[in-house]
Amino acid sequence: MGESASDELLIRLIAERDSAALEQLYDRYERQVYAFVFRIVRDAMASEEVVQELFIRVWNSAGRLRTDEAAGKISSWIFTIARNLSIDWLRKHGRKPLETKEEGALEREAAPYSTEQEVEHKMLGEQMKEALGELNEDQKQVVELIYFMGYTQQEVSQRHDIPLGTVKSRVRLALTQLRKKFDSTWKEGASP
Amino acid sequence: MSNEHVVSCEDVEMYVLGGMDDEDKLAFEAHLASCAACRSKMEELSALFNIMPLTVEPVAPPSGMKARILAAVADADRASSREASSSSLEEEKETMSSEVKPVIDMPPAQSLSKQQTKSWMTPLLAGAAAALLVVSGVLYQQVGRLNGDSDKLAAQVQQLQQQLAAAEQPSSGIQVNHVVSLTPAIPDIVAQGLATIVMDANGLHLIVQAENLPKLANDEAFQVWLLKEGKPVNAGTFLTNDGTGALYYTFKPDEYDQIAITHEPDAKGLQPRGEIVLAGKLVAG
Repeated sequence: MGESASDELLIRLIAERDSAALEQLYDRYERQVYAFVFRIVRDAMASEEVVQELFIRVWNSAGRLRTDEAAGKISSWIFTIARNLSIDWLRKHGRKPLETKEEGALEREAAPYSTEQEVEHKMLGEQMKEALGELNEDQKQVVELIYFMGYTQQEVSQRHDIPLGTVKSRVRLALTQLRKKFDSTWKEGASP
Repeated sequence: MSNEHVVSCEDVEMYVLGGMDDEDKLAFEAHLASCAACRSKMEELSALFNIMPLTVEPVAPPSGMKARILAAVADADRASSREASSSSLEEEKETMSSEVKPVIDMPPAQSLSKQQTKSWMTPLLAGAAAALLVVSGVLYQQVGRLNGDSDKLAAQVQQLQQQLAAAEQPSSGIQVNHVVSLTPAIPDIVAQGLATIVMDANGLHLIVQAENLPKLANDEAFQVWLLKEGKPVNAGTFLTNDGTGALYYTFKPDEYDQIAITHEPDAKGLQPRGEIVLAGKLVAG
């Protein structure tokens, strides 16, 4: 198993209880997953707790994942579990007020992006950030409330006194705009 | 929209963003199964949303997190395989698993609360947790056995209580068969006594009361005999207080025709040795 083993191969090995494969997958995703979970729960200890639960799930569920169909989707599977676990945590322990979010802190951790995949991820992330920055405030708000804070559309409607139909249309417009922004990127072949 | 849980092709964005509650999600997934346009749109949007996690600011994970997490995964794996291997104890499995879960959950909580603890502590805690798991399994079995013992004891207690209740309830269904006056068998004593025979479901009960009995010396005692055709059976021994004594004896019905109280040198006699002080006939005739 070389350094460049694909996610799919690692998952297949993990399904066979290969702990070295799990460690390799862990190394590959640790920083991204931790930062993503931290972005949602905004607490270091809770983030580690969630990441731990995530890798226990990966270890236990790898055998049920069809890697032939999931080609290129391991990362989305991992991030989906990470988000679900993070939002479960928020629902159990409560959310910090939206205002405490450190918006626009662009200073980056001086972390080396060693692998090709990491470099590509970094570029895509930057592009997406730029696209998100171009959304209007209402659209940014619904994306934040739903995607990062885990509220349902009904909760957003009630808590912020926005008609449900308006919440839906803001989400639709936001995603349509993001998609348009990325259409050109897909055509250039830099798919995630 | 008349109903919050009615879904349509317009909801695909909300589904991908993750803003649906469980009911909406199920409803939309049902719709998705039958709508190729939504499936195709969803795949596109999902690919887009795979980039979302990459937009977050990098944050350095806590030091030692890797060792703690990999150890926790190994622990959870050991715990789950142990749980699976204990499936032969079918009865216990269900109860065990609910008890076991907090133990499995412990290592993360501990490792988190001690962020600065060196990583070798985690395997140690894991070992302790595993040991605790084994011990709790053993204890559970012991408790099971003790519960079994306790059930047996409870059954015994119940049985004894029933016996006691039966013994304490002669008043229900009690019937005084006859009362026999016991008279001195020898002319120069003034003793007198009363033998009462009562019958209930448990048989015949003899209650002997006597007074003005001769004073007992040393090991001397009074013994009560029931006789059938001249053959005595020991019905018990009693001592006196100021010449008065009593005795209670249960026997089978209609076996005896006479009762006698003898003054014995000790309480050990199997046959009457001393003189009869009081006597009476149990059956008329």
